[in-house]
Amino acid sequence: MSASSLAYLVQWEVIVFILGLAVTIAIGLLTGRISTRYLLYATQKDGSKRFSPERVQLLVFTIAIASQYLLSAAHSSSGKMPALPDGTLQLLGLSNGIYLGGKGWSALRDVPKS
Amino acid sequence: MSALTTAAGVVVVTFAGLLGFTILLWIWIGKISLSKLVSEANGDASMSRLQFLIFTFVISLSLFLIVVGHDKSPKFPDDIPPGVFALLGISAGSYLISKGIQFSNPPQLTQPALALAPAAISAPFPATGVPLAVSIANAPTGTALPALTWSLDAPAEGSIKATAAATATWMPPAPLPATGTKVTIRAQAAGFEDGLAVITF
Repeated sequence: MSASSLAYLVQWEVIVFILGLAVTIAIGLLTGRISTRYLLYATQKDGSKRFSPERVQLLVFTIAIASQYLLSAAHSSSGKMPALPDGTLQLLGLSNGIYLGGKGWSALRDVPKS
Repeated sequence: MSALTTAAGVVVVTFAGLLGFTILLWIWIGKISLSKLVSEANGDASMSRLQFLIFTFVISLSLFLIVVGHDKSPKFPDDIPPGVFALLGISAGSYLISKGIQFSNPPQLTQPALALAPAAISAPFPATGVPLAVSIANAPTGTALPALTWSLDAPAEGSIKATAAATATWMPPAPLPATGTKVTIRAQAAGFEDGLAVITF
């Protein structure tokens, strides 16, 4: 067996493993084998839950940025990792900041009595 | 020497392949549990963990595509754009800050638990079986009862059968095992600590 054949085999092993793991985790998340309980809910100071729009926006931006980058990498022919488009990091930072702000607000403020 | 190098390569490739296959197989059959992969200490799913997981996969897969997609032969890229490090840094930093916020709020650290009643069962047992009921502890009022899985830890003496969403009946075996034998009934649900009841024969 030649060295190039071995390198070819290794490539397939790695791609099958990474994709297999990604697909397994995706299926687990979609079928509930991996718990996503309260993924879009924030825990308040008294332990109660509230629906959290800031988590929804973080999920949307995360999926959008991840998909966009993966497509760029798949179409890259320069042999270099593609750079992130302008503004992406600012957008991600802002999105994470909103998420953390909402989390901190929920955790620290007193829940109004209804 | 060339033959030895090739043989070593074959061994390494085979080992790596088998290792990867075994890990994936064990995950599929449940021997490696990923049920709390994106969960926090209290069992709730974490957005920052999920985000870090997604970006880790995207960057690793992208890097691999670039390496194997090189014109002549697989080659590691000469440089990684700083934006990629910043992307992972923002994601990891967000996760760390969220952990800090979490530790400042005790309800975010306590995992809800299932509680079985009765928690201890001793002989003699009624012929119609022993009824068990589940309640939720360490959770806000109004937390919905999740779908339960009932099982018996080894030695699995008798049988357990759900009778409603929150109840089950344990039927003793015939004949009964030796006096002093202990069997644990377990109620499980994703995101909850297991509920346990111990039977003593």
